[in-house]
Amino acid sequence: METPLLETQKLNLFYGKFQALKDVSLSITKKKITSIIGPSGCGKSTLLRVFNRMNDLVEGTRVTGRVLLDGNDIYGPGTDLLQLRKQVGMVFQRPNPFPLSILENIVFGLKIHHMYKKNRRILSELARESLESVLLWEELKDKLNHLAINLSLEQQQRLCIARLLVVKPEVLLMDEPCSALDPMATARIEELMQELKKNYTIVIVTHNMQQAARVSDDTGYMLLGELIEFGQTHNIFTTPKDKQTEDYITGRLG
Amino acid sequence: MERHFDEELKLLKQKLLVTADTAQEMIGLAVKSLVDRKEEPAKQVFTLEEKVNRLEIEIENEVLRLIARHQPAAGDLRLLTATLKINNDLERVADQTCNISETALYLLKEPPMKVIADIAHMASLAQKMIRDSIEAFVRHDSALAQKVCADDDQVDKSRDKMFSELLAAMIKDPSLITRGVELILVGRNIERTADHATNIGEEVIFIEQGKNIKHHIQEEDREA
Repeated sequence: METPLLETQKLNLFYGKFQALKDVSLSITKKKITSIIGPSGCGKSTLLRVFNRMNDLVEGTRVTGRVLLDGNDIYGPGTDLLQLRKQVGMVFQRPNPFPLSILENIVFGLKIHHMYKKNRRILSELARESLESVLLWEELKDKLNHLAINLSLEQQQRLCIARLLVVKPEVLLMDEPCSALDPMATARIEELMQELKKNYTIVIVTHNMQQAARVSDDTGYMLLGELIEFGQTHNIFTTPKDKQTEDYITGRLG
Repeated sequence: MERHFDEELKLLKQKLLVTADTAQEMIGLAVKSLVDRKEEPAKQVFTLEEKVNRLEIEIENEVLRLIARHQPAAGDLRLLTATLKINNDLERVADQTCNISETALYLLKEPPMKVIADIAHMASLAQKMIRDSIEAFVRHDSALAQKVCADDDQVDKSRDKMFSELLAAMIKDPSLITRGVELILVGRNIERTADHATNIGEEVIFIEQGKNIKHHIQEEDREA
């Protein structure tokens, strides 16, 4: 049994009176890709945002249960949110580069986390390293001063991933990272995910079941705030145990 | 929610059932030709084989089309992959009945042999196994599928008995050797037919339970 990097134990989350997550317990294994699937409103994005406490930004959010990162409860007292979000970075549905240059986008996180060195050589080395990790270096090495928002959507999404990598996170959360991309760009991001998983733990929320089947090692199926089934992707897509999972992945959920 | 895909799967299953019915009919005709010493049933077998061959290709194409268009998962995926295999098993059954029919036509020119009654018994066991395996497929009946797999032992025993009888007869009277060898091959054809029924039974269990019971290799524990 591999040790989990991230774990939820009997997690409940409320937005005011509305309960968005119900008794969710799951384990996310280190250096694996875990996908969370389920129909709209099932709580999968909420669950993803639990892992770096992004839900805290929503007023009236209340959480019970435990969420462990490396064995430490991230909802426990004394959690450093800035540090948590450095360890657990997030990629969004629409690429969201800052309206700054490519280089400034990459080093932005370093400034936030006080890792910024006013040394051009160190900075360009870090930029190179992070852009190479997302296979953008060759394309962009001569354009580091260009505006990031002028890049293609796929390049923007890669840049957003590079921007996370530069602060050396452990976990990458991806919320529908390919939904704004065409199939070719999607395929390339999926390839990139396989590369990234050698060094990082990835949790992806996706509406695209085929994507979950293609890229992830483990899959969780959520419905109405509950985790209905969690297991190896291979098993979920060939022999799910729960009829509700079967109904969803075979398109019978009506 | 009823899906358009369900309708397409239903049509595919119906096609597979036509193959299964035809294969069963062919077993009956081949054995009839052998037992009743008649030419006509054997000839019908050859005609029906063309039908089964055509259906085999149609079903293969249909399964490929459905996989490409629907990217099935879970039960749908198991049904489609198992359908490809069952399709292949049924086509092989049809081939076996052609072999039996060819032997039947040859033996028509020779004097009759006593052991034919045992062959008829063995063939009826194999035919029932095919019928039960298809019934299990249609009714989603894992228990019946399991029974088919168990029934294979009876056919094997029946074949062993027939082989020793034939061997004894041939030792006693070497003039029986040519016919005896032909009948041993028929025994082998029937035994193979029963094996195909067993395969179909195993496929039904795979469709229904997601468990692969082939070669008695236990499915690895999913929790491991």
